[in-house]
Amino acid sequence: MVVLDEPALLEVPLVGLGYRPPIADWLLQKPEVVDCVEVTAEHFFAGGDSELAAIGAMYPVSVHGLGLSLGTPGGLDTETLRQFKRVADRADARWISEHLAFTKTGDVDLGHLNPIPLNQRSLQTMIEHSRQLIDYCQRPLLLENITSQLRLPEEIAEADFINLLCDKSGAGLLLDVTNLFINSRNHRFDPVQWLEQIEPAVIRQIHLVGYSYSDGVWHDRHNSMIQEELFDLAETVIRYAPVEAVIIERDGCFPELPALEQELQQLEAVCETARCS
Amino acid sequence: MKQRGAVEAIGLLLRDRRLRERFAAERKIVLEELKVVPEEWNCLLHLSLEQLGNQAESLIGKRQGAVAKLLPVTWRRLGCRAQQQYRDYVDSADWPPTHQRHLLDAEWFCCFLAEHRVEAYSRDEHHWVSFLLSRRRFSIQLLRTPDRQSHQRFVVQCCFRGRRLPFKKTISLFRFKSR
Repeated sequence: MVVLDEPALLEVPLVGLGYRPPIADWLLQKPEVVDCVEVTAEHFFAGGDSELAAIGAMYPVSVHGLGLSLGTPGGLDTETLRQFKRVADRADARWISEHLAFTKTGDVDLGHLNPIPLNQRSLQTMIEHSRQLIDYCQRPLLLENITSQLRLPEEIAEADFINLLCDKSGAGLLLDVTNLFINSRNHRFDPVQWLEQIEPAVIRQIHLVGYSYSDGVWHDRHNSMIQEELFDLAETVIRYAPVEAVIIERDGCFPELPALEQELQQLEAVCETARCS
Repeated sequence: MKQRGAVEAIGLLLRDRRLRERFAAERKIVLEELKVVPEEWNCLLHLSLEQLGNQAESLIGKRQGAVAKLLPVTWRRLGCRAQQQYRDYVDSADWPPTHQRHLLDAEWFCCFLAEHRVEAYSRDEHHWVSFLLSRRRFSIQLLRTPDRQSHQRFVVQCCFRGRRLPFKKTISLFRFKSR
């Protein structure tokens, strides 16, 4: 089994972006402000092997899955698993990642992330599926916290669930700072107190993107510039844990390149401040 | 006999608005009908119905957003009816599976609009979405599509699969007033 390396708090995390068609040409020119890239596995299920190889030759790559549905009891879908590995291999991924969630069951493919009950049964399912994914892909796995309007009754506190899962499966945590912020607002808790219950050594990567707000609810629409309070929370996380990479996860409404570069530079400055202080 | 856990039951409740309404009225009966294993009842009996509804709404909202992006002309022409048309379609169709779910969703929505003879529907967008779903490298089609109010136009749409991205070219032939 591939397990995470010993954590190091000394190095400044890499700063990167999600690879999306509107910025693909720019990313393939290897701009100086981008240290690493995340590709969404499902975007390459229909092909794109040479593109993946090109990205993999230029950057440390994280391959991020959306549809393995690790939280669904029963076996993982073998075809999705095979395709996911193919993408990870073609891009020579440094990390692979998926979600603490389910997207489908035997009855329905909901297509988007949904929370799992935080109980022993789900914990066992997540541990087994994470181990299976690590063994199959032979790469370090990071699991991401999701945002959800639905908060299920907890038999195990969320932080304990994450700590146990990482400990028993050998996976790390991809902490989506925006999701943490949104959940803390929608479900009224303190994000820093939540963070402090997580074992710092497991937090290895960060996702960040601006939130949006409408009708009294915070949303993760992945199409806004990062707000100041998110930069502050990201800095707190980077001070707290051996984060290796921070990735802006933007899906739409891309700004002009200078604005995107400025956001990446600001993020780099946050990383440096957090690590050098 | 298939037994379900909490995850499977939540999946069904998120998919089906009518099931959620019944669950709100008679939780235990619905859990029995869904054959949920007894050790998972507790989690489901304490679900917040408001949050469940909000989550279901957010799933539909994400689907709707993706379809609106794939069919911008159709969506614009539907105007204030777009959301209701989409909801009617969602209630009448399965949830689209696989990594191509948004393209499938857009194609099924086009078929729904065509079946219901909704004038605002754009045939060239339907053709484009069908092409994206196919493995073809090239597709050409003569289409009649609504133009301005009470006008139609004939167009030739050519779709190509380039080295990295697919692209399309639409050539307008002529416009005529529809009866």
